[in-house]
Amino acid sequence: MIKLLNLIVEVRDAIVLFICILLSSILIVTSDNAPIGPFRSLALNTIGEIGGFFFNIGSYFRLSDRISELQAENARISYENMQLKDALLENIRLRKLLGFKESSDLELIPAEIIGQSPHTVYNGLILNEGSNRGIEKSNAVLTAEGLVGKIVVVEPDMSICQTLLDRNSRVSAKIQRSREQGIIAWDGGAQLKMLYLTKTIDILVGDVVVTSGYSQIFPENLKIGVVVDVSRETNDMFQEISIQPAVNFHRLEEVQIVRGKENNAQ
Amino acid sequence: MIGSIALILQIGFVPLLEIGIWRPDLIVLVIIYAGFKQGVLPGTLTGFLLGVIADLFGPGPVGITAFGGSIAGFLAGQLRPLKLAYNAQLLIGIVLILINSLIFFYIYQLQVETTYLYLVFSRVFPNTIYTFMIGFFLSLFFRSKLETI
Repeated sequence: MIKLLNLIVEVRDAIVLFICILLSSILIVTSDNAPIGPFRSLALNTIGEIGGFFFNIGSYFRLSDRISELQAENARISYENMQLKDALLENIRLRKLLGFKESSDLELIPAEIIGQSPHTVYNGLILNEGSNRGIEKSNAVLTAEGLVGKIVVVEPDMSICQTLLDRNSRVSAKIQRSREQGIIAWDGGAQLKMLYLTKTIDILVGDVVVTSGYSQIFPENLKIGVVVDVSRETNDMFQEISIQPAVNFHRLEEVQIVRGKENNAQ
Repeated sequence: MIGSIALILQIGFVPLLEIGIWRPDLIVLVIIYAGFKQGVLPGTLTGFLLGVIADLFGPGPVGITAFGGSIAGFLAGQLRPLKLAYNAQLLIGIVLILINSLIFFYIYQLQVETTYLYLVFSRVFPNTIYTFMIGFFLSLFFRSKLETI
């Protein structure tokens, strides 16, 4: 017994390492079901307080430039809004003539990004809004430029957004010009790829890719990106399509979270 | 304490240092330092705990950073009795950063469609070099402490 105890003391460090590795493996395998919710909540809230403080300091010094940018954008959007209103009214008239149901507007909740996940392969944004504002898991996240991702973790005052630049991200999308549909995934680099488009489909560089609307998560016609490369020199029946994301993920500071999603029904 | 600071910096500040898809890893630097400074047990436990906490802030599986972090901390702690010179610590440091990164991306590639070789050249080596450069820069401020290990 004493010999055993002495042995354990001698190899104590190795035993601790083995236990750590074992726990890590168990956590990895059971990650979706592991009881980590309270710990994640505590971690996010702590970082949220600290990150929010530093974010406020930084944003104070950027106010002047930001105001100028917003004024210019406001003027542009106002002009576009007038034109779109005309188009909307005409659209409503025509839809009524054809007996279509009216589409509804998106309810958007603004949120600030106070941090990013530590890894570059599991790309997540830490947002300063959570379930207290009605945000739920799988709510879409976007900016004026286009689709950012979806909410994957929700706490009362914080949430984590999984961006399109994540290996787990899959979005049902279509080519705006031809309405051909595929799935958007991340290529591991700075671009996205569109999957499951056969070589017979005509795809051009410059084609705009938007959400298809067939998902229960993402509203229709949210801009995802632009096709920058098309390759038919593949070994299978599908083309390789590279897409430059519409959103600059390196310069995000604020996003809009879509609360719920209304389907356009016909 | 240092781990907390590293974590906050990794989440809030390090993304600003990103070059393309490469980002330094302050957490592994803290783990290695803990191993060098405190020994095997603190190094291993620092690697595990910091790794788990870091994973809580991302959408990926929890435990993936802890796996490599535990091993890196353990190995760093094993070298503590050797009382390595500063230059040797730097050399060992880059090796440990590389080991940690190789383990992390090995587990990662089990879940994706990318080959491990591609990840080694596109992620492991660049991230290791970048992390080492940041670590070397920081070590200049803590050189006296490192030389007394």
